[in-house]
Amino acid sequence: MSWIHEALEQIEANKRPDGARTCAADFSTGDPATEPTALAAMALAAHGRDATAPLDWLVANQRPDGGFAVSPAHDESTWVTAVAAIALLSAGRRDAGEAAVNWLLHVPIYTLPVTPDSPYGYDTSLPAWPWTPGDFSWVEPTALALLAIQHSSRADDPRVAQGLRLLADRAAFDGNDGGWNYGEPRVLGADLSPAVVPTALVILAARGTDIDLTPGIAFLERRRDSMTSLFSLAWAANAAAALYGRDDSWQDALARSWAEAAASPTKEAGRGALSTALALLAAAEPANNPLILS
Amino acid sequence: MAHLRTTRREFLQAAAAAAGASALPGCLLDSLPPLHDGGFAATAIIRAADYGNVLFDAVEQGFALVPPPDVNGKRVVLKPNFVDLPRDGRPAVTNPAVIVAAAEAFRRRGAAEVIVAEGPALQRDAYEILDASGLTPLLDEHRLRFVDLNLDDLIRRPASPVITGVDHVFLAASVARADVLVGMPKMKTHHWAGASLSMKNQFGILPGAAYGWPRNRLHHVDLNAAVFEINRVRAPDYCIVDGIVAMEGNGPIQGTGRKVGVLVFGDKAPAVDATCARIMRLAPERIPYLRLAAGVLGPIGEANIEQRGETIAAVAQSFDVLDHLSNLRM
Repeated sequence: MSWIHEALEQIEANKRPDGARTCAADFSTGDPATEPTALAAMALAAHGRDATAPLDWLVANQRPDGGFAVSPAHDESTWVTAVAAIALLSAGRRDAGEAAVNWLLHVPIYTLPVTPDSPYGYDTSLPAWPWTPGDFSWVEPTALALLAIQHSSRADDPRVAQGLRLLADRAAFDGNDGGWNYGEPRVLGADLSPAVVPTALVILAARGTDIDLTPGIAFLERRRDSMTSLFSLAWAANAAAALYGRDDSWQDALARSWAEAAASPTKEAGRGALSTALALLAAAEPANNPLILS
Repeated sequence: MAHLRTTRREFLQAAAAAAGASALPGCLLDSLPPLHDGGFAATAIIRAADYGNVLFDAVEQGFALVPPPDVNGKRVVLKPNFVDLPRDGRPAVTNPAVIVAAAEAFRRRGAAEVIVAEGPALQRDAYEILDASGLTPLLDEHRLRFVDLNLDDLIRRPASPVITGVDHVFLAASVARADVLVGMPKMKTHHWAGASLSMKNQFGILPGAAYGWPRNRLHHVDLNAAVFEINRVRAPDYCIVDGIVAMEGNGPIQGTGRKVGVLVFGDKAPAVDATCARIMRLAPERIPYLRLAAGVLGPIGEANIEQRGETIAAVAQSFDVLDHLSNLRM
């Protein structure tokens, strides 16, 4: 059995009775959560499987403000709204998806004026998207929000340009590598290193824009065969799929990582719904992958 | 000075009111909260030259000098510091050998379950950090389960608005349900907080899914007040600090290694951190979150802490700190 078939079987079968997935190793223990449920819905749909139940769960758990909380145990709409919006909009659940995007476009943001003695080596006055309402803007929630908005009817909203401006400003170079980290390229005079997941997300969100993605692409290429965790590799493989289609070298890396996880109880326990769904998306036909904008 | 006349409550209210002004600690170092130290604690300093098998003996020595809580039949959660990927050989994370040595020591004392749990601050992928640090094969070998606290279920607990602006926080369920929580930080300088030790390490018990990577919302209101208040919600029941190879300079991720060759043990986090600060030749009474915690969560004054094992003087080294933290030096 190929790893793709095995992964599909797992993500289809391992679920809560309400159709949601959790962040646990078996996809179903503990509280249902928005992010794994949304990614599972995307992965199932991308491979032609029925995603009705997780999509229904998302709609049922949308908050009155249009946003999504991390889980029903949580009490505010957050960054996971973007992931849910991508799943809903790509599946044709337009009303719920547009409401989620509307929440994203109105989330309050905290900025800092730039001062001559600022310790931050980037423009702290730029607004984009925070992890939680009222917080500072960071790379990953911004990239996810941009992906969601570009699936919606609001793709020309002025906040898209603001978000791209922030991503351009936060590009990180540590002397060896270029790309993006969580969102601080330079602090207190020291360069911070790029990281795989934020770099992959920026490539997905900013492909086709004026932002120079070349250093980030090179960074991911250099790391491809040394990435040890499926979560990072899967995000990177999605970025690669957006750039090159289903490239053999990245597909081979996914297969290797999947097999390695089976040999380690720790890695196998960490291969939950998030990593599995992301890997399946990277292995899907790019036209069916909602993380890849056409 | 006016700030010396303020009460702890007034200081925390002022910190909350200043939300959004700046994440820099300098403002707090210029305006330290009042110090009301008190109580008693013991800490133990045990020499350990390296991360070899001698660690198992070192942990037992530490436990003998400052006994941990009774863990017989209980669920023990070890909370190391895995803030970010350790890059370029920098000692940014708790060494895996210390984690395993502690786990085996708790098993020998009858713990029903020992798990390793952490929520990295700057990386969504905790498993990449486990692999890079060398912890993954040790977890497999010792049949230890890891929990990514960033993705754990959320348990609501009442808390001061100083932490996030609201009257509650969400803890990672594995921590909330732990019978015994063991803080296992790396001995590090911290470019905002001064030092990253047991109390600062508790940031990781708040899931990133709810607070972000980084948990900037906690820095945003006031970093030092948040450290104190998170520890009021859930302090570690016991602490083991990895100071064998510590980090100085631009910590917690970009500093350089400094070999101190010690493990530090204790059951009151402020006292453990105060001892570690003195080992680093930093004045604990100048670290704002330790001042806030003093006399509430444990003592920080030398007169209130019985030092067991090695003396501080025998192992202390003058750690490099960034210029804006130079007033922390003893």
